[in-house]
Amino acid sequence: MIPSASANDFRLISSHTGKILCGIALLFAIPIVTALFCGEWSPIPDFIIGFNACLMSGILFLALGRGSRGQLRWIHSMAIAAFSWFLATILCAIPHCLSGHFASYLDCMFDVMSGFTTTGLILILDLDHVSHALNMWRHLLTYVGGQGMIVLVLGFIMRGTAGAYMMYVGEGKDERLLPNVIHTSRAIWMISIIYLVLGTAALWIVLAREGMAFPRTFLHALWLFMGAWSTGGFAPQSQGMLYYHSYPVELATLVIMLLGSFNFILHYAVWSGNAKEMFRNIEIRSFTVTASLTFVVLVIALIISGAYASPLTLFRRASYLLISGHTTTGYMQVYANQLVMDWGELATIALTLAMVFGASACSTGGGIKGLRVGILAKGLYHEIKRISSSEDACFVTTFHHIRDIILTEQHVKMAGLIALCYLAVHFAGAVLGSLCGYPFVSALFESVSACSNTGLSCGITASGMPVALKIYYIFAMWAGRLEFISLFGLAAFAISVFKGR
Amino acid sequence: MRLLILIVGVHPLMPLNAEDLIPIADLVNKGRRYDQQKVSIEGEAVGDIMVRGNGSWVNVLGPDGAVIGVFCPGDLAGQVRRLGDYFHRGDMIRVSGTMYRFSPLFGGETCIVADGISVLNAGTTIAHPLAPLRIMVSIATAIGSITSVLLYRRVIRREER
Repeated sequence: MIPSASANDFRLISSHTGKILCGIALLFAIPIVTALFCGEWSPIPDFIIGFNACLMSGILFLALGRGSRGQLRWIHSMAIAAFSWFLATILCAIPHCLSGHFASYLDCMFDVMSGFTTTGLILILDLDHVSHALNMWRHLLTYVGGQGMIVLVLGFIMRGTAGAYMMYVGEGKDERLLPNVIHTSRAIWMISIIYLVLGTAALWIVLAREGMAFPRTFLHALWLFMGAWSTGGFAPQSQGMLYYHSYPVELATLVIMLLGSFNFILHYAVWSGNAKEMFRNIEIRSFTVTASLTFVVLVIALIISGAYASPLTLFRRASYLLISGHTTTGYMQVYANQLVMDWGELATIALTLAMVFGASACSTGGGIKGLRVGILAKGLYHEIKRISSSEDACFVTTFHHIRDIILTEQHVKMAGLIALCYLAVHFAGAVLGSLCGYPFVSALFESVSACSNTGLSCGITASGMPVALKIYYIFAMWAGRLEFISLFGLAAFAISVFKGR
Repeated sequence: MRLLILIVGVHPLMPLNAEDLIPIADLVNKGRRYDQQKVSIEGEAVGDIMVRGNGSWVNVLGPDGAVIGVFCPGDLAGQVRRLGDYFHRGDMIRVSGTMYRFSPLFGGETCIVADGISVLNAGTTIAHPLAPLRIMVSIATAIGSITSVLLYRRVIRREER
């Protein structure tokens, strides 16, 4: 039973949304500094306009939320998370629109949602002539989106907010590194920033050795790190990873993608001296199994296609794309159309499966997530064991995630529900894609890529694709990143508003 | 007879004339047709020239928006002076060479190994003048932001009293 919404409910949602928008507005400073540093004067007003629009909207929502009383409830937190992600997408698209590199405002929103949700599908035109400031903005959005915009605001802007944990959960991260959620948010950012420094330095050295010149070496290193760590898959040139023609760059990004796909709790455990957790954690085991299985299918598919004569080349191409898909990053070192036309449908299906499984929970990645896949597999094992045992046998199944946890019906039910939501959105997108005239396998691949926030493309995503598909992919990226619960919360709040009338 | 000529003319097994320009999108999307054949492309050199071993990589952006990597042995890439980026329209170049759908030399990459490069048009600087209307809008919105922050703070202080 959903109660009707009161004016106080609106105020609570409005005031918190306002704080998040004010926090997001501060991000505009970074591309402005980049533009000044690179002598790009023309894009500066675009970012100033974007900053002001975001700040004014934030103040407006804060003003509307004045006098709110009481604590946040789950429905408020979910609505805040979903609503602020949507509003931030609209507002952060202003510099994109003013850059002149997009065909419509919808395309700009698509790109921003793709960035925030760490998907990596792009509709930008003539990326090779884009300003450094806009490239910084695109990559910054994906870097912030990976950690979470609410995590950012909770960690550095809001202080002592009641209901912080509920908003944190609303953003698709339901595990805490530390007892206090504000400290958890700061720890997540601390881990990300340390890796940012180390990863950028490593890529900088690699790119310099591969013949690139300063300052582009530094900027490309920073952006590639942001794209790989956030499992976003954005790249500063239209060819993506193909631009670099470099195995060392592939290797470096491969390591960063894998690190980005790990649960922040796992990072924290390993950093705290618990290195054994790497081998015992259910997510790492589940990732290893699903990645190995899909890799075998992909290798068979590539052998059948006859694309690569050398086994080493085949291994290099297959492993990179599979890890890129499985970690939901989306970096490609083959052209989009080659996936279906040259690698074949079996390879496309293997990659689709890898994207469906996805990365770890509480990471920057998307998909169903290793934790849920592991729990579902354990649940299946438990049921088989129960059926095959005598009726009076009593046994428990456990899984290891930082500590040993007894598998309960609630664990399996929740994992199953979320997995079902993902599969439903994947399938609906595939049907819509088919109705738009694309082959079903390609439509399924692209739909899974959008909803699992991966960004691999077989060529459907382009500026000229049908508007219905663009809108659906925006929805799928948004729903997939917030793991559906927040959208249900927003829908429940909308129902409660109509009930009140 | 005309129909027969037309069919034969576009048959995928027909040998290519190296002098014919191939759109880059075709090379990428119809790789089988051009694999290990002599091809010629035209486009803008973009990004960076990356020196590797006994040659360099140049990325060429075609008028159709597709980009392909070109490996230039020796100092062939030395002719390219200006590369396309935000500030520049890169040199328009014509490349002739061998197309590889999945090159065995370069880890299975789709690329062209160049035999020759010629610069058709030298690159130019792209002007990005500051738009007066955008400056005015940014000033107006900045005034709006400052006003809204001040007004909000005033209201909050009044309510706190």
